[in-house]
Parts: sequence; C-alpha cells; structure tokens
Amino acid sequence: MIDINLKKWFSNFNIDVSFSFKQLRNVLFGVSGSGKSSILKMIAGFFAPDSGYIKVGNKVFFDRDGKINLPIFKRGVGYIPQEYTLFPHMTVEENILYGVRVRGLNLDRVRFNFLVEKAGLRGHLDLYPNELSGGQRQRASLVRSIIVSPNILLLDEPFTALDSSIRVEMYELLTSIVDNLEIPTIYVSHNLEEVYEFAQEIAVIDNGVVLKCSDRDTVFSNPVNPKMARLLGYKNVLKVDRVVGNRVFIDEHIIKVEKPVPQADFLFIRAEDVLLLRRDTDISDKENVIEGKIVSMYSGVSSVCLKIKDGSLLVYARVSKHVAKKMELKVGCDVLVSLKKEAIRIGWMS
Amino acid sequence: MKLTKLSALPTGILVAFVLLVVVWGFCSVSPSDFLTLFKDKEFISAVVFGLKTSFVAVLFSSIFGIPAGFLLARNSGVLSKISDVMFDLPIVIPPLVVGVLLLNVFNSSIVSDIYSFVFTFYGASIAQFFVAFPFTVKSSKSAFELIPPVYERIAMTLGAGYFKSFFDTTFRLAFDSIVSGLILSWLRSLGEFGATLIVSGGIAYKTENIPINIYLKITEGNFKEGLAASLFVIAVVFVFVLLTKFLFKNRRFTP
Repeated sequence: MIDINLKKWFSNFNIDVSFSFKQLRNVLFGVSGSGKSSILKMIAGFFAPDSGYIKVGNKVFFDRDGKINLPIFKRGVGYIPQEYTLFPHMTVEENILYGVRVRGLNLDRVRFNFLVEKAGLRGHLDLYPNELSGGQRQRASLVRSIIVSPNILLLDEPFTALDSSIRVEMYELLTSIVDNLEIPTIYVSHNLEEVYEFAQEIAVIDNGVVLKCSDRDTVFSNPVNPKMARLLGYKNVLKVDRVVGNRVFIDEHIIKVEKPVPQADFLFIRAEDVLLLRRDTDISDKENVIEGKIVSMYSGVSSVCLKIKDGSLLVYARVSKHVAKKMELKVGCDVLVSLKKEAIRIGWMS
Repeated sequence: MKLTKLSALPTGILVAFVLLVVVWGFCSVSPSDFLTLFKDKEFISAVVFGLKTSFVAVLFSSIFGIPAGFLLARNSGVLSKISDVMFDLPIVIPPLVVGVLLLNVFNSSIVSDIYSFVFTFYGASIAQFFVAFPFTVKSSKSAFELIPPVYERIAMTLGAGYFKSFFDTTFRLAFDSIVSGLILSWLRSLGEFGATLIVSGGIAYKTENIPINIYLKITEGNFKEGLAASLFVIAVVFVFVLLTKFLFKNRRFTP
C-alpha cells in the first residue's frame, strides 16, 4: 500500500530508509532528530530525496530512476504538523472548504456534515482560528485535510502541543476517521504511548535508518538491539557474558530464558514486567529470582520506579504506588525480584 | 520607577515638539491663505504632476519591490544580503545626490540616444521611484518574514498550485503591511524634492511637484502661500499615515 525507499544526504546527516506499510494506521517512531519528520516531508513533496522511490497505492509520488517527482499539489496528501496551520485569515468553514474550492470539486455534503459533527465543529464554523482552542484548531486541520479524500494522511506529531486529556480525544477521533474513511495514514511520533495507541504497523527509525518495520506487537515485543529496546521502553538492558542452552550468564547470575538460544548479547526486560516479591514469599515456583537491595526510588504520578542491586547486577522494577506503600518499600530494603521467562527478550549488538 | 514611566517624559517632549511646529504653522495662516492657494493654478498643476509621478513611482515600486521583498525574506544567501544593503542606499543617500547621479546617467550617450529623460515627466517619475522603492522592498520583506512558509505548503497539499498557494496565504496575510509600505512609498514620492528638482528642473506647469512649488513660492518671497501649501501636505500625509495605522486594525483575525 505504501512503499518507501529513499536516500537523502544532508550536510551533517543522512537518511537511508526502505520500508513498506500495508495497514491503514502506520507510525514512524524514533527519538527527536532521528529523521522521521524529514521522511514525512519527502513523502509530502516538500523536498526531494536524492534517490529512491515513494509509492502510495498505485500512485508513484517520486521515482529517481523513472524521473518522476510529482509536485506537492498533485500528490493528494493531507499534512498536519505540530504547529497550528489553519489559515488565520479564513474562518473555520473557509479553511475546511479551501481544498474543495481550489480543486473545483463538488462538495460532498454528507462527508462534510459527518466530519464536522465528528470533530465537534458544528458551532464553530464562522469563527476564525484565533478564536478557537488548540484542540479545535487541530480538529479543524484534520477535517480540512480529510474532506478532499487524500491518497495519504501525514501527521507530524500534531497533538504534541495539546493537553494530555485532549490528546486522548484526538487519538480517538483520528482513529475513528481513518478507519471509517479508510485513509492510509503515517503518524510521526516519539511518544511511546501515542504510538501504541494508534499504530497497526510501525517503522522504528534511528539516526536516519530503519531499525525494524513490522506490525505493532512484533515491534514492541522484539527489540533487536539495545538502542531499539531503550526506544521501546525496555528499562532493563542487561549485558550477557555467555549462553549455554537456555541459560544466560550475567556476571555470577544465571537467567533462564524460554528457549535455548545459540547466542545472545543482551537481555531486555520491561521494568513493569519485573515481579517484586516479599521476603517471605515461597519462591520455589518462581522463575529467575534475584535477591537485591533497593538503591534508589523515583516516584511518578501513579507508579514508583525502583533500582535494585545485587552485586554488579542492576535491575529496574516498576510497581504501582499502592503496591509500594503496601510492601513498605524504601531505599535500603532487601527485596526479591523474579524475572519471568516470558517477559525476557533476547538482543544482539547491532 | 518603571522604565515605561521614565520613557514617558522624552516621548512627551517629542510629541510636544511635533505639535508645536505643526500647530504654530496652522496658527500662522488664515483660511483665506488656503483659498488663495487652491485658486493658484500653478499649485494645482504641481499637485496633479506630483500625483501622477508618484503614482507611476509607486506602481513600479510594487511591481519590483514586492517580489524583491519576498526574495529577501525567504532567501538568506549572500546575494540577498548584498541586495538588502544595496536597497538601503537610496534611503541614506541625500536625494539631491540621487538626482545628480541620475542626471549623470540620463545625460550619458547610451541613455540619451534612446530617450531624453531630463526635464520630463518620466525623468521625475524615475527619480521618485529610485528614492521610494526601498520602502516597498523593506516593508514587504518585513511582512513576508512574519508569515511562515508552512501555510503555502499546506495550501499546496490541498491542491493549490505554486502561485495560488502563495497568493491565498502568504500574500493575503502580508497584504496589510504591504499596503502600508506602498502608502509610505507613495508619500515619499509625493514629497520628493531634491532628486526631482535636479532631474526634472521644476519647470512651472510642466515638471513642478508640490515641494518644488513650495520652494519656489518661498524663494519668490511668497512665504504665507508656501506655508499654506506645506500645511496642506502635512494634512494629506497625516490622513494617510493615520490610515496605515488603523486601516486594518478592526479585523477579527490576527495574521
């Protein structure tokens, strides 16, 4: 459905990516400066790659070998960046209908009414953008992009500037519109929660290259290297000394994994998946139990992150505040942690 | 004491200074002086000549100055920077010197063989254009700099071509400031004296504009009429400057 293969050399940064998406809701995920926004801009046609091709459906946006480079206005893309881009001198209705007007299309009233109602803009059509809230502006931008039935919708962290409560509404609206109208979408984000909420397929981008491109669950459960693991929120990245069968040696500790592996450089475990046990717990049926001491605690809004040390092994665990209080956890406490086999992921150096 | 309060004193002194000069001027003439002025055919001819030449100057200022302002706003290359400095020159060079330089060009055989601009309407228009166009360039540049290019890109994603996306977004948003700049250019042309006098000669009923008419009135010893003409200019300038400040202020949107 979306087939991308492009190279672009900047003065101090290179992009060399190749990936394809077959689903509707797709995400380019990576840290700031990884090149994901530049990729999106090249798909939109804001600037051209140095080589490669960009294909969306049966339309070729760019093909260096075929000497094709469609101008922005012939690509049929909807583009919503982080900043507010409603035209300030037009009302909400004029903004929404701009694309219909310049393309000389007949307005599909049913689609217009559906989108305006869905986005909650019915009472705001006569207002100017500066008379709207941030959420209303981005909803209007979304409707403006979608009403002209784009070939692809490109979203460059459009909800980052909004309050978290509004962001949730926006994801729901976006997901519902994209699914209803079946518009292929690429969403750029560096926010793990956003990505998980929205994505069906994900391409993980780092330093201008694709680390992995697959469906959401595959990407989230199979980090290939420490960089990707950290990106995907794996707090525990443990360096492996050697492997024998399904036993992994880390310093003096032996961690058993689900299946025998020929080689492993790292073990990745989410802090949320580290099981914290009371000292008096019967550990006979527990897997990979480590006895350690809490060396530090960081408290978040709803959870507590613990740093637990056993010799040279450092393990991060995350528990709810309620559990932390009930277990009377504090710095210096001796605790038991269990690393469940099913939560352990194997990683390699590159 | 707050700095704004402290700044009020010099501001007040400046306002009082301007008011003193203008009000003193209006107190020194009677309505009959204005009546005499408007009956003066040479003055009316100077007004018409000034309006015509300044219109031509502003027309060409907009044709060349607005695109130049756009380029300077969007391009930060060395050539743009050099051009920007070049456009400062007509503002800082004394108009009389501009007149001398233009006269030198017009009198050269390359130009004079094609058309004799000296002592003509077109010569005066070119002199005024030279002095006034930088105001259009500078105001357009400042206006375009304030409009992010993303609006044009978004318009293009919605199907607008290169020119339409620019016209519907950046130009429309910069329009108020560009018009203000054009009004300033026009007022600068209308009040141009030195270069116009040198190039066009200030021939009565032919190449005489308002400032030249005022100058001639005073050198002929007709001070009262010269003063009345000066106050007429001030009134015109005041109305248009006021217009540039308040013309677009009651809009609901903020560009």
